[in-house]
Amino acid sequence: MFLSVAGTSRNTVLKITAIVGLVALAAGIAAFILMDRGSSPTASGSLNHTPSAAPTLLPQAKWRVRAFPAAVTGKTTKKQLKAARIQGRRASQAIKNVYNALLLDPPAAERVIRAHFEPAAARAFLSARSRLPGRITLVRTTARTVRIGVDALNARKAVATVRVQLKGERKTRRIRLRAQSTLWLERIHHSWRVLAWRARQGPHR
Amino acid sequence: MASAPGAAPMKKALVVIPLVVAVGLIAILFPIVGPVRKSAAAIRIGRVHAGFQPTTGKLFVLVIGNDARHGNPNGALADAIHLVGIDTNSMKAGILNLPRDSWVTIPGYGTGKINESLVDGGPELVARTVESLTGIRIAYWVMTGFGGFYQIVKNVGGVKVDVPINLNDPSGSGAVMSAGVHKLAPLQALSFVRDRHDFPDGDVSRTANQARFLLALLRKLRHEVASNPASLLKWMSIARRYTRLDISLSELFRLAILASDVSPKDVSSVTVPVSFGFEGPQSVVFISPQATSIYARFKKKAHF
Repeated sequence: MFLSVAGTSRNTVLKITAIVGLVALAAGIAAFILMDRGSSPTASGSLNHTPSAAPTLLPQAKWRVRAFPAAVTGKTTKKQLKAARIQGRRASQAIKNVYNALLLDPPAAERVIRAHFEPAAARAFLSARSRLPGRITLVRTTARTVRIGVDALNARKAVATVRVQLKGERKTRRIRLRAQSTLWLERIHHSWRVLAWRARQGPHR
Repeated sequence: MASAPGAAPMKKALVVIPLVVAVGLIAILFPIVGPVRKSAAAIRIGRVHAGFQPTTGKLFVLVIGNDARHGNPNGALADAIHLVGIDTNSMKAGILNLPRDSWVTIPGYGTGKINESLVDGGPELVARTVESLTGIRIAYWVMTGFGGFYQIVKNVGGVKVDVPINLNDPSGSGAVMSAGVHKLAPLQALSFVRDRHDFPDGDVSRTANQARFLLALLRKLRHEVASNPASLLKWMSIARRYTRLDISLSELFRLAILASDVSPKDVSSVTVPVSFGFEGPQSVVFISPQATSIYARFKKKAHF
């Protein structure tokens, strides 16, 4: 009896352990999927907002970034090249965040812009509605480039030219757009902030 | 032990020659490596009021050109005085040109020619004098002499200017050029902004030409930045090299961005209406009462 009871109890424990393990595994997979979606701007666009949000898994163009030391007097030194490469990468990350939000995750755009722009520049940018026209679905970027000149003196100022081309659909019409912007950035306490900007966009033929 | 004949003069020469060379080197190098004096910078930029931030979207900057051949020494007279206004909302701008012989009240110094205010109290006093004259609160002043002007034009690779009339003043300013568009080299540009003998109203037309030159410089900046935005950093680097900044580099960067955003076609230039006369033995110009309405309009809109 003891044995039988003991045997029954052992089976129950095994069953419960198996169930708990399965539940934990399922929870882990679900959490991983959710975290993965949350970190990807292309993915988060489709989670909970406007019908114009980008579909999750459309392939997007790779960002092409070129950073170079600007305003060099004389010959470019290795130190200037290194500073431009490192700071150019950091500044371009801020730019990528802004454009990923603007084009692929519109509801997050305001928060991201306020995080990366100086207050006056952010206000002007948001009031100018320099973003994707409404009701565009199936947004797919076909080219994304950043050309960033980093001040050779102390790598604290930078000027970036951003070019983006994209395809999308508005109702049943296919549209192609291109946007070009110039962003003036300054490094304040290790983070790059946009001080001023100039942007234009139009149909891409 | 007897020394060889001629050894003493040789010894003396060995001591004296290095001494002369050392003294010579110090004399040559001291101005280069020695302490940079406040007045030695070719261009100077500063704030008129510490901590003043314009909040109305109108920014006023006083541009002063002095008659110093090198640097900005004390005692130089202000030969060019221009108040530049920018409306940061509409991105329209205006230049108010003040003739240097304008007879005005200099705060704390009674009445005198406006160009003397630089001798009396430096660029800050020129700014305060213009403020008391126009009622406009000025945020920054920029000052350069001949040296700074020369370096700016040289480093930006010359400036294209539309010369209004034929100029022929070889013995004065050195300006000899025909009417029309010219790309001016540094010395030509300097002669263009200095020439007053070719104009019947002398300094009044000269001050208008100086505004014309400022606009040409703005046109060049804008053109370069439009074709290559990173060139703004080059302009900044030129400014840094020759400028003694009383403001932060960050502030200069913001001002440069602002300037590059103004289209020259949105910039209007007005010279203060004046009448010619004498104050004692001095030949001066008296600012006409009509100027009051110009100041009021400029203060309100920052352009004309």
